[in-house]
Amino acid sequence: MSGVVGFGLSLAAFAALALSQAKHKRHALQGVSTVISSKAWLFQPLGWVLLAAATLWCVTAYQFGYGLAVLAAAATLAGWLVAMLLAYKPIAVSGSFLAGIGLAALAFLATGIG
Amino acid sequence: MASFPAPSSASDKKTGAAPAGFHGAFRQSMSWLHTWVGLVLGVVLYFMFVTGTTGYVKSHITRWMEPERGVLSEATAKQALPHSSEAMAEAAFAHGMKDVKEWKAFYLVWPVAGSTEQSYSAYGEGHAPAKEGEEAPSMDVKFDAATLALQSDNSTIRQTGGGDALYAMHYNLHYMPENPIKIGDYSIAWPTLIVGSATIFMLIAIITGIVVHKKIFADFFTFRPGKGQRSWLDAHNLSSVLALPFMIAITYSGLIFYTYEYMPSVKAATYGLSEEANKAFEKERGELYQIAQLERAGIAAPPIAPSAPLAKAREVWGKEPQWIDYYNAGDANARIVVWAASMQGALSGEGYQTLMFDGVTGALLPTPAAATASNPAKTIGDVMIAIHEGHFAGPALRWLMLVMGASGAAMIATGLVLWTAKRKQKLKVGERVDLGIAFVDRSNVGIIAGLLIAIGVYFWANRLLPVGMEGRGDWEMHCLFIAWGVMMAHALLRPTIRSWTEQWSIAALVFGLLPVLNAFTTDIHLGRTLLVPLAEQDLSLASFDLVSLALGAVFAALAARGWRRREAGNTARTTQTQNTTIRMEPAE
Repeated sequence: MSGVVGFGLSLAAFAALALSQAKHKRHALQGVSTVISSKAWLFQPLGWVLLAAATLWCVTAYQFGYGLAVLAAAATLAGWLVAMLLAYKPIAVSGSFLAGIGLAALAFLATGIG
Repeated sequence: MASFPAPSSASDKKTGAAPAGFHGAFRQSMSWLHTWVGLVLGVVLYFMFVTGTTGYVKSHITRWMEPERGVLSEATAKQALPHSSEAMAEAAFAHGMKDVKEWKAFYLVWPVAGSTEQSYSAYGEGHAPAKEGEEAPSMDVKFDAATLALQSDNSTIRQTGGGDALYAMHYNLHYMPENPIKIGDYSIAWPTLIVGSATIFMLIAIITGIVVHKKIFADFFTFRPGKGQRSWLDAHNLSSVLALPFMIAITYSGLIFYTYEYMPSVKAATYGLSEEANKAFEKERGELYQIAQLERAGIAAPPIAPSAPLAKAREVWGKEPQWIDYYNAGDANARIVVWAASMQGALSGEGYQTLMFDGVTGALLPTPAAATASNPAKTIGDVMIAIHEGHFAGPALRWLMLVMGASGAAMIATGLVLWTAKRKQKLKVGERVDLGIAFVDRSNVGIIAGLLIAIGVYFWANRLLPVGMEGRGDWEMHCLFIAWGVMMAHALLRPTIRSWTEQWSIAALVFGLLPVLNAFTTDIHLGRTLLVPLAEQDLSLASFDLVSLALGAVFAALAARGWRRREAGNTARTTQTQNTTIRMEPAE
């Protein structure tokens, strides 16, 4: 489950970083509230913070080396997902941000319960 | 052959390309190096990445290719193996000592509890041959973990190369001669030399690729489909950047594997290049397998059975030992080393626990100082090898490593296609494609799609070749290479757009129908492995069929896209012909 937390955080981080880029923001935030669109600059620091959180989580949940391997794998998968969404379903990217946060939270709770 | 780029040119100013001067010239030079290094050994690298990546799931592949072993439910797999490690070791060791009175080295490796592997291995290296002109005795056999019987005696299990043969191709290149090239005392095997050269080229391509790629962060998620050359470049960038840490780690660690073959001079300067010099070097480096190999006493002494050392190791560690080495078994100077691996510890240089025993009395011996001394160089080497082999990874992480390996293969494939796409794009209307470019363009199809089809054929051969066929395992591999050859010929004979579409269609059929073939020829199909109550499922076997179906779907989508483009092309040509005819009519 710790790996799923890493994946969820990576997914949210990459979605946030993609949304912070002007060329992706236009397509990805279609139909989304203009209030959120106007605050899109916040996504960049948020993305980096989430990525740092994913790294920190993985290396503390596992040993350092193993944690980095888990992070690399989770981030690769998350990166592919965000890239494919941007190419074929850009409107779903903002949803993937929320899905990533939700997944990480659920997996975190499950880890705690476990 | 392209000429080396000039440091700056007038065209740069016109096009607003990289600024002239050192940085512009440097990037151009790196771009040239990246392009040509990637192209020259791209085929070998693609072959290595595709076959090597299968290694992460080789145990699943082997199980699928040995259908006679049947379904092993998740519930059963979680239970302890039917026999203790002592019983497994006793049976194999008794077999090894039956005809050979003394082994220089004898190794036993058995599956850990919870693993889906159902066989265990014994390897033996004998001392000098009994008679001059004969080879020293050797042994490389597998035993059935359930029955403890020698697997080759078990005629019910088909002979197959399995996942191991497929994976081993990425470093032994299968048909390459095993005889090494000798230069004085230095020797290196042909496959090691070729694989090493390709790996160095790969590392150069990665580093130069990073230099060339100006907008790594800006283009991090960018993929624009349906835009010709632009799309290929996006796909190439995306597949390389997303899995960049994996690519660097796997390439660099691949080189570390054969460090002393590729860079023998450091060792040679201090120790020399002979076999004895190598032993001395490894002993000083703290390699226990070398330290435990004492000189033979020349006095026969019955070796101790493996039970006692194994029981002692379990008592000391509080966990199951995983393999056992005997050195000089049958001699008074016999030694036994018992090993246990730590999956996560492998990435911090603490991958193994070892205990050494006297092979005659069974007494636990103190671990030699050289083996316990701090040795950063050895630790780094051990960690690199653990990274490359992925031994540290559990099942989920291994599947993710498969995704990263596939990313690597995609990066090489898109790079190869990009080379021709760029050059074709520059052609003027009606201009003929250069013969060299046409050759690369067509052979790309056979290399990229053809290899995937050939691997699918390898699995088909496993199911269709007669079970009792002589040299069956070898013929599975021959089928793979015959299929690849046929696909290469097809690609060279057909126009590129057609051959892409046709080969993706064949790939879709080969992989998509594999679970169907499996269902018709065995009883380990999805109906038995997946569509059953949860406790009876065998996800290891089911995953093979599911991945085949997924690959079939991906290839079908690629084929459908190709067919649509062909249809569109035909329609456009027909419309153009009709328009021309209409315009011609008044003149007639």
